Amino acid sequence: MPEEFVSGAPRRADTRARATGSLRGALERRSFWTVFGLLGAFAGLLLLAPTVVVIVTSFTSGYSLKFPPPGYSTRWYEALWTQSPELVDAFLLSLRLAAIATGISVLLAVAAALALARRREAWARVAESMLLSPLMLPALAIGLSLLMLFNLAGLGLSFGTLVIGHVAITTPYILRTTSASLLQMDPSLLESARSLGARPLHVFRTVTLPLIARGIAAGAFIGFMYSFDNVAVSLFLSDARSEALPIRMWHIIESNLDVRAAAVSGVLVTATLILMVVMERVAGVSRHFR
Amino acid sequence: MPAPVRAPSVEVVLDRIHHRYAGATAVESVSLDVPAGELVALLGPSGCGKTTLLRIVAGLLRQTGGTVRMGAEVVDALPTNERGAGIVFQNYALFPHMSVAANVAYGLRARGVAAQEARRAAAEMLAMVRMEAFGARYPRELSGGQQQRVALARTLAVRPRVLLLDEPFAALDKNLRLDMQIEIKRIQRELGITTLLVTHDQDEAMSMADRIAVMNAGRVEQFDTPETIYDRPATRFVATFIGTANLLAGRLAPGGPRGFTVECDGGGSLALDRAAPCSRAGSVVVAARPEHLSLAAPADGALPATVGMVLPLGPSLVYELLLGNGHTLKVTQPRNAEAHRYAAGDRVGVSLRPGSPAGVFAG
Amino acid sequence: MAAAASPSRTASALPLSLPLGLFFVAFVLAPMLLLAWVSLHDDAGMTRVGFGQYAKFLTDAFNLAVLGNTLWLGLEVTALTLVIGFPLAWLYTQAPGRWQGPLMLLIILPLLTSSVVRTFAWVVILGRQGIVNTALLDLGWIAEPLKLLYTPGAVAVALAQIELPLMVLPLITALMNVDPNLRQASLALGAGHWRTFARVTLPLSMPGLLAGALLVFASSVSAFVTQTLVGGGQQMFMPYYMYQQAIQANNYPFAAAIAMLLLVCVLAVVVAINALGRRSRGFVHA
Repeated sequence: MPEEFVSGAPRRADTRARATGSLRGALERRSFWTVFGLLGAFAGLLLLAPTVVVIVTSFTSGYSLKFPPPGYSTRWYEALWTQSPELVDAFLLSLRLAAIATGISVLLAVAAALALARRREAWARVAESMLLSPLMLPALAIGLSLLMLFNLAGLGLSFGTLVIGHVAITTPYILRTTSASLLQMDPSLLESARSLGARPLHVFRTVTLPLIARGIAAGAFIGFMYSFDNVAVSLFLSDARSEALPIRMWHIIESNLDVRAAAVSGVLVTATLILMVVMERVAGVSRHFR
Repeated sequence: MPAPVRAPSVEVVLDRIHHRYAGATAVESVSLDVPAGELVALLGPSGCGKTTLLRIVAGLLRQTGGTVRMGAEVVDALPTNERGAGIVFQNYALFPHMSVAANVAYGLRARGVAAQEARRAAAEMLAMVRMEAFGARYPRELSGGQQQRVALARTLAVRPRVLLLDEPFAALDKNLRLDMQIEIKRIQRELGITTLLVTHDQDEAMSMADRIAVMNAGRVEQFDTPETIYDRPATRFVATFIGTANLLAGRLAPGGPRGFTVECDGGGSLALDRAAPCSRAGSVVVAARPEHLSLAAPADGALPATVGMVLPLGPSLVYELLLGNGHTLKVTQPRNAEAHRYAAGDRVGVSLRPGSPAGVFAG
Repeated sequence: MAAAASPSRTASALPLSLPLGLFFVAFVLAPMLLLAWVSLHDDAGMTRVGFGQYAKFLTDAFNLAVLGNTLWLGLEVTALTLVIGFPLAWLYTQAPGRWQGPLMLLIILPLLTSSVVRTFAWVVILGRQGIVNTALLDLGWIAEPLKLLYTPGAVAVALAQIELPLMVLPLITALMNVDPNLRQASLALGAGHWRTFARVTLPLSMPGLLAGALLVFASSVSAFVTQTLVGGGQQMFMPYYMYQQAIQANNYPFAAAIAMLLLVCVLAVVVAINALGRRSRGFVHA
């Protein structure tokens, strides 16, 4: 049996031995774990509660957002499906927008990552930081500034300008995850491929790409969700014809607090949850959040 | 929460310690009696359970069975921070964000000792490990050996009644190792503190320990003084783990020129003065150390063999011999002018030097 | 780790990084510079250059209150997420392996859902017919539904939950990087659990803590959706102010100035926290 298991990873059982010792010691230990346990559990609950509440509310049979609901029915999901063309349109638009923006972002960001990720030179480090900077800037500022740019250039708002805005905010995510994957890749793999006579493009296709595929996928997933959910940029760059789903929902919530918003939320959360579990399996997405 | 300051020098008694983890048994029915003031080494290969045992004594792990006593007190119910067992980890575990002096004073401050008094005691401790000039430095500025001394000072500052060392020299270079071993032994003797040392290095155990517990697969195979373990290994594992041993399979029978004879599978026979630990007639394995065998012209009471290679090694000559059944045997003898020097290809007879021990184990 | 670039590889770096580089210059850098430029005009028609907008903002009590509210909100939310986020991160590191997977997904899920959805959930919870009010009414503690929405406290609480993952994730990373032997050494030396936490665990997880604080502050200060939907019209924050001035009042210079001021404040906090982080990072990586 490997000795290794005894040192290394934190073991819960170790120091929380079922020992009693002195009374003061026991109180001390108990108070620590009680406080941390309660606060931690509260935090966990807090994370979960809103999602649960929304989903439960979406099944209400009533017309308001009363919680607990007076009864349960799927009428609001049906209403979503049959009576809300504008919501379905917005959903499809958001989907299209996110897909196209993510697609373009992948091409741009993967290329840049390949060029910059493993270089030590100062210019590369600076360039990478700059390209990642939109992560730190408030998206609102990006949206507003783009609006001004388009106004100045005489470009009217359209689906195209919306795409540009979304590409600007999603590329950093893909750049970051792809760079992380590249850094983890053993450089001697490339060297041995090349020494065996393979041409650079071939090496890229057969060695590099498969190894960073998961990183790209994870980044693309995060970017896609971010674009789909985005409000700040969409708010400034949408025109009347192309309203993204979050904006539409915003209008609903602000104006008449329609229960359909709950149904939309229910659909979105469930879809996100399923996608997240799948992407976790496929690409280990959670690693990139840490 | 200040724990009472413990006086050093208590005996440690392990009674049928048993520990299961994740469906496997890490420690199986270990009973050890460590007299007060002694340094006992827990020696064994990787995975034998020695570190687990140490952690159980420290209170970092709660064993699934058996009891640990320190002196007259059963300590199982005591959590780590009340047990009075000082442990030095393999990677020293110095607090990187505190200075050396703060590290050493940590345990004292934790027990409520006033800042000034703690500082004074810490300085005293640092002087004992000859690191008094390094109080203001930070762990990352120290070399491995220096860090280890600080870790030792930190543990000893709280006057534990038992000192536990987990492979303390594993991270040091070879040259430093011997110096540190001498240093720690000196300090241990000076303080008279009961010490348990975990190591996989037999030389270390042999030179430092008053007694060694040789462990294998969770059990203690032998608990004895280093010399006894070397000369009279209790099991086949101990015989092969400690030092080098030639293993000869054969059948034991009483009688013959010296009291016992073993008919070896490779042909020929070996005469023995004693048969221990196994003296029952039947299949056995004999473990004989290279320096306990001698070469002579082929004769009746000796093992026939052919010299394969002769290698000079320092002050000795190492003979690699080939037996009838294809097995090899190592025999060493001092390299001096008087002894006959055999060459490759010579036929010889191998026998046990008179008075030399050989382990006989049930085959 | 990084292979030295051979001459042929340097050549290929340029064409590969150019597309994104050009895109960035055209659609991130240039707009930002434009934003700064626009903010430096004294009037809405953009005829005169000057610091008028900034002067107008910084001398007006209302404007300063908006800025103050926003920054204060950021601080509140950061503190809240710290107090409840640390125990959660701690429990994660102490949890058995098979619980960590689902727990991690639970923590990440909010990050992947739209802020509109998350805020909407709080609207449901805090509304007059929401869970808090119905619970209190049922318990008989109040006679009439409380007005929980549209209060500054509500915004802070809602944001604290929404930004919680941003605090918890870096904390988990930092805590997992702390050598477990250190905690055990502290206990073996006689320190209790609280002391061990305060003197060993907390200082050593400082880099993660600061990273989380930074993310939460920057994010909550710009949390347009939550501030507006949960805050209602009661309190004005910088993001909505910016939007209002740009889209509704068409006063682009002023909106730009608001954006720049917000950016500067966030950047100032980022720099400050990074400076703090540099000091603490030095001794953590022993």
